[in-house]
Amino acid sequence: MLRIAIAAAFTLFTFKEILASDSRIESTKANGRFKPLDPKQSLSFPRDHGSHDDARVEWWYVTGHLDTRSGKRIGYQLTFFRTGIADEPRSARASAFAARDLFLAHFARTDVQAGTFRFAERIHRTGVGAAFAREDRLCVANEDWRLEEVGGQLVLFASDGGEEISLVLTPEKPPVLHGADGLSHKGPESEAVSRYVSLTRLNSEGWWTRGGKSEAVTGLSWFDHEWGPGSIGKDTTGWDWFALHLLDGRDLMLYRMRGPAGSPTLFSAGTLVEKDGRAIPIGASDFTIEETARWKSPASGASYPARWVLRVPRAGVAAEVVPLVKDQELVTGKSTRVTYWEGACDVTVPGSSIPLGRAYVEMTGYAGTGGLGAFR
Amino acid sequence: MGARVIAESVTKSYGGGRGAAGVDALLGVSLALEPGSFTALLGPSGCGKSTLLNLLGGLDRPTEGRVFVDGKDLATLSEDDRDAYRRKTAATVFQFFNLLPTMTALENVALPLLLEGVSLADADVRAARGLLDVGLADKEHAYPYELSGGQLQRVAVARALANEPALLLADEPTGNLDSKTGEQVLALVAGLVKERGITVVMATHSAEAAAHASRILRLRDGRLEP
Amino acid sequence: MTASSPGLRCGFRSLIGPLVLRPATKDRLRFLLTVSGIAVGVATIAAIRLANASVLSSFSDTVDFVAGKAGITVLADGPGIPEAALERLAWLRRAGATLAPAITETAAAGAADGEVVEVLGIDPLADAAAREYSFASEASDILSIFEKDSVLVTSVFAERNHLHPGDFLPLVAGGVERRFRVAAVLRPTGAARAASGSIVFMDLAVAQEAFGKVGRLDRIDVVLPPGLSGDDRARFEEEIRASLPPGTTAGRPERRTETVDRLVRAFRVNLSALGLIALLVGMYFVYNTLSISVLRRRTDIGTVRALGASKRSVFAVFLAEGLALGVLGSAAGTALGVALAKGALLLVGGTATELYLPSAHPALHLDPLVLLLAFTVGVASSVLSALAPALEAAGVEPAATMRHGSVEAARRRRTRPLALVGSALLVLAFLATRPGPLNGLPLFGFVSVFLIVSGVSLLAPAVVTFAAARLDRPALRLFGVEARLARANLTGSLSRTSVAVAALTMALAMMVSVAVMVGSFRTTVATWVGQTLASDLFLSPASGRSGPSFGRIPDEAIDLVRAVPGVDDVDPFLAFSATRNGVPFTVGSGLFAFIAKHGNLPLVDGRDTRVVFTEALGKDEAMISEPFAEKFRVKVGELVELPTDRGPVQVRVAGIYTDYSNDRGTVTLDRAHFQRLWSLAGASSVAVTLKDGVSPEEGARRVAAALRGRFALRVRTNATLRKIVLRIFDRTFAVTYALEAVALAVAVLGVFNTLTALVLERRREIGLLRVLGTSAARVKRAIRYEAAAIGGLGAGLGALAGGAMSLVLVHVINRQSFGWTIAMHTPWGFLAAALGLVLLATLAAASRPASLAAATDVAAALKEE
Repeated sequence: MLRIAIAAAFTLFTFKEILASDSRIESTKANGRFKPLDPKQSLSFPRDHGSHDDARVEWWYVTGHLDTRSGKRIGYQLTFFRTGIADEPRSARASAFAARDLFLAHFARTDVQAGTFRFAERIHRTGVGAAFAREDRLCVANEDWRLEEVGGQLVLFASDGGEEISLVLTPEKPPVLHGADGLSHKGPESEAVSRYVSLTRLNSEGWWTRGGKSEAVTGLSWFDHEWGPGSIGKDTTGWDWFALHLLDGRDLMLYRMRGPAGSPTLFSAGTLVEKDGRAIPIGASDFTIEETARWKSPASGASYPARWVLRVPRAGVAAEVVPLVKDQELVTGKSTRVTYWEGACDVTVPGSSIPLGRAYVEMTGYAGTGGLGAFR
Repeated sequence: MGARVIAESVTKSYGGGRGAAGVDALLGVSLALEPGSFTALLGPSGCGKSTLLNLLGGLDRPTEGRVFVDGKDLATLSEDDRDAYRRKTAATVFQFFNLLPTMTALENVALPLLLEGVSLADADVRAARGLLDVGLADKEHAYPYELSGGQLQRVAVARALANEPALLLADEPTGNLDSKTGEQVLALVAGLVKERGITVVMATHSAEAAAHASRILRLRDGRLEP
Repeated sequence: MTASSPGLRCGFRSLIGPLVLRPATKDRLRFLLTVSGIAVGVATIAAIRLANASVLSSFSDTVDFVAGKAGITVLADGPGIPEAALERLAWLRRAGATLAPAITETAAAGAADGEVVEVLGIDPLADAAAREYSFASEASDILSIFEKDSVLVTSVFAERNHLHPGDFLPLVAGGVERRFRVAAVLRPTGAARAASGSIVFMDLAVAQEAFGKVGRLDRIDVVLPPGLSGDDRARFEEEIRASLPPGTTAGRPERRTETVDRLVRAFRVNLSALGLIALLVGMYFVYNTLSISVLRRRTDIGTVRALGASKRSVFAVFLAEGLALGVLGSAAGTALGVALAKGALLLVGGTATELYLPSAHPALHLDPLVLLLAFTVGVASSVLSALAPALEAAGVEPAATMRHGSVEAARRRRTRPLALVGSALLVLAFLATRPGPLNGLPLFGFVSVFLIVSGVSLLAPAVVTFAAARLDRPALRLFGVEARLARANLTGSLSRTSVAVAALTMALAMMVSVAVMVGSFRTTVATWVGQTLASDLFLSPASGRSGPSFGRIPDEAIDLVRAVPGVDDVDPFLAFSATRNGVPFTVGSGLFAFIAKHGNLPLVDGRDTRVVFTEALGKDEAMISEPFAEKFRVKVGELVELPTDRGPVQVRVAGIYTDYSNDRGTVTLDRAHFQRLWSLAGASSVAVTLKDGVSPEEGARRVAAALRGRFALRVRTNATLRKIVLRIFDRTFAVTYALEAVALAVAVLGVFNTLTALVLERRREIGLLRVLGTSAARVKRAIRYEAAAIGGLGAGLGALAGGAMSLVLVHVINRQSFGWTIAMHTPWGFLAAALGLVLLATLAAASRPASLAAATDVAAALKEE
């Protein structure tokens, strides 16, 4: 579970010790800080792009494809996690360092031409000058990594090892609420539910700096924001998540929740976002995912699907998703201690190289018990 | 008045004990000295002269035999009485003068008087007279290292006579002096003892020195030669 | 000696037997005495250094372990770093550095009188980069360490206190007891080794809340990115300084050790000076023994020279004897020093930690370098002391049969030049009291003390000669002829007796001066305490086993006390530590109105406390303590810059008050003024006056009752506190007494040694005395008189030199190193008793030599020559 993973953030502790700490977070006190999601509560933006203090787990994901003028292609992923660890009201503690939350962040980028993939991670607890997530609007930061909403646009900055990405993201479509009114069920349990909101198509402009040289970049990004109690269902072993920007202006999100045998569960789902921004929910029976190749990670030893054919007959979509670089696996040591695959892919007409669009794919739960994803 | 000294078959052995044979320094020496007599013990080194003087001076006790001085058996004296005997009755003059190097001539001569309990003023007066008697009135404040051998021995004589002893024991008094100086010192001593009637026993290996005595006893290998 | 000269080598070899070895085996007693003398000297040095090094290394270890891998440490130059400093330093993270903020605190563990522990509040996430931790026990619930009652303890501490994960551990600080739960136990590695394991760790937020430090940090350790050049580091340091808020300093962690080192430096220098004097006495032993050796073997030396031994080989032989004595004595002394160090550690450690680091449990750290140093110093000083006797031996003419008296006469002729040099040294000693401190240390003062000691020692032969000449006749009248015998010996062996007198003088001068200084200091402090402690009750946070209190009393507790029936007035004193040019001082605050009303803080210039404090209150001016004025050379009317929360603020000095409670120097402001400059609440201690008719005991009972169950404060009555102040004072100076005792014992042993040697040497003279009819009892008495003369002259000279030295100690050394004005006050009773004791000890030391003399075999003694 994410919580386990995040607890592992403690560089002080070994993973085994972390597993032992799992049980305590399950109970929610009557007058505690964490509340179940209220389905009746309607969302309002931009406020609800900000942090939700009564949700135990919350994250903000930005993935995107960028092009330089010189024709280079870059894929990037910047993720901010927040996990609440203190189930008590803010007034219970006087110190600004009182550890209510742990803040984790991952930053990965794929250099398509070079075939390289790099990632970095950061972890902080509630404190001063290190990491935070504002509640009144979208503004999350972990050290100098930052994602902030300013006047309807998102401003993003991340850096690692002399490489920097600095972008302004302009939404082309209104926020999409996945599931019923943004309530996305991940399993049969009542707490296995989260709020899931996306800005699926963000026009991206900015600068990519490496080795002291900056290049202007343009492209498309995808913003996901999810929060809730943090459970993904007892029997879930992992998931595969797809976010496609299609050349026809439509965007498609699909996720497949995998059961104990690796088979998709009933809680797999998706959303098709029309060019005009209309969101059409897609049920578990509305789509199929066919794996057409496998890749074995030399780092973790895990075997991942490495090519897919997605079919959503209702929407008239049949697309082959092809990773731009095989190894886009994040083996995080410092923060989540999870191992997952998240990478930039091309979308083509199945069986041909005719482009249909670009995509980002996330796969969790392939690297054994220690490598479980954020949700189970 | 001089002392009458009688030794009866005096034997002195060193070492030995517990059945082991010791070395005999004196073997059955008997002698009788009249008060005011001047006796020379003549003999080569190691013949037992010094041992005999030590016995007469109460520094040592005979292994066998007895020593009487004025009728008192020295062996029966307590430690205190022996100290008093050395202070008042038997004075000694040594070959090496044995003055206290850290005291002036006057202080050396005054020492036996002070030891005897004479007041400081009297002691100084009497010591000064003693030095005058030996012809060293001008050396009162000299330290021994500032004096010649003859002068040293004269101070020693003055010290020995300070308490008006009855017996003067002289152990090779000229042994460390040239013959002329030795002669002068001996003449001085002979004169002084005669005046005061002091009994003198002088150990010497020099026949010349022995000539000053009224009686000569020869000592060889711890026995008196007949 | 040069190995290339076969003649020398051969001569050396053939001489060492007859001149050194055989006499040494014959004179076993004196040989043993000399070796043990050096051993005591070396042991003293080794013990002091070891104890000192152990205390310091426990300081610096703690500093190192706490600083961990930090390249630069940001510290508060005031009550704490505002936590916003982290935001100003955020750029460092982008540069690849890690920031590890921390809270440091001290608390009593278990109960108010429990073991004192350091508390380190850390951010476990950031800290892994800065400090090393390793779990001894698996935490049952790792996230629980973020909870507000969690602590991590070291295995050392856990074992000592029988703690296991899940157990409760109360910590008391600032008069408030808080219950913590042991979340896990740490292995004794990395940071857990700090303070010898007497350290507990907790989450930063937990520490901030528990110790009233919300909003502030005590330190930020910056772990720099790897592979920086020295220049890069310097640039980082520079930029960090530039981005820090006022009241913060940044530097390499070593600088912290330097500060601590600076804190204990005055203390260490004082101890080392005392240790050096002990060594001087040890050197005297070697000199004494070898001189006597040379004198006794003069004839032998003359004979071997006549037989063809060279001057150089004779010199080498005696130097070798000094070397051999030095090696034997130093080896024994080093071993003895290790044993002594444990005891000394308690003393030194007790004093140092009393003053500076309450949680230290310094373990004996056997630094081989220190041991080697003590050994080398012992050997070197032995060889040095052997130099003069060896030269003298080399100067003996072939077949010399010089009489002892003439040798002494030559010595006696040297008396006058020595006395002239001695007098010149005393003049220099006076001049050395004029200059101010050098680099904050009263070095010239120590030079002056050393000059006094040396000057008086050089005067000793002249004094002995003079006294012997003047006192001969009166003493003879008074004590009889034995007095003259004693006098004759005294001047007769001047070279030895005057050295014995000089050694005794040194030891006594030291004892007298320290006694006068401590006595004056104590009386002054007692008077000051009487004036200052005007209030009826004093409240301080309960402070653990080791004494000094820490933590702050919360305002609620003060209010509670104010409301107790019978309480008239309350003066909260609040202070924190700051630095000025790297030198620490205290910023304090009290109610000026309270002081103006009670007039209980005497001013240095004698002005009326009431008037000055009232004026200072009206004008927001500061009062400074005398040590502060002295240390930083600040005068009334000048401005003092203080590192406030609002940046540097200049405050005018209204007056200087006397303060013997700390040597660091204090700037005191009125509480309201203080709280405008720093947002700090609570109090370090609280003075309470009671209404008329309420007895202190009754008042204390009422206050304690009001606080019971809520605050763990120590309530003391005026009388108790006075007693405690003086007890702490006495404990602080305990170490000086111990050192004095050692030096004195060595000196008295020296008298014994000298007399024994003299008796052996004077066998012939003693024999002569016995022939002259001197009784054994009188011979004994003469030796006793001689001892008494040595003791008396030593005591007299020592008292004079000690008097002069105490003036230097009080008016120069003390003033320059601590800044205290002390009124001279001579503890006559103590001095008389001590001098009497020394005389008795010298007489006791004479008893064996006297018996030896009395037992001289008269006939045999006269036969010698």
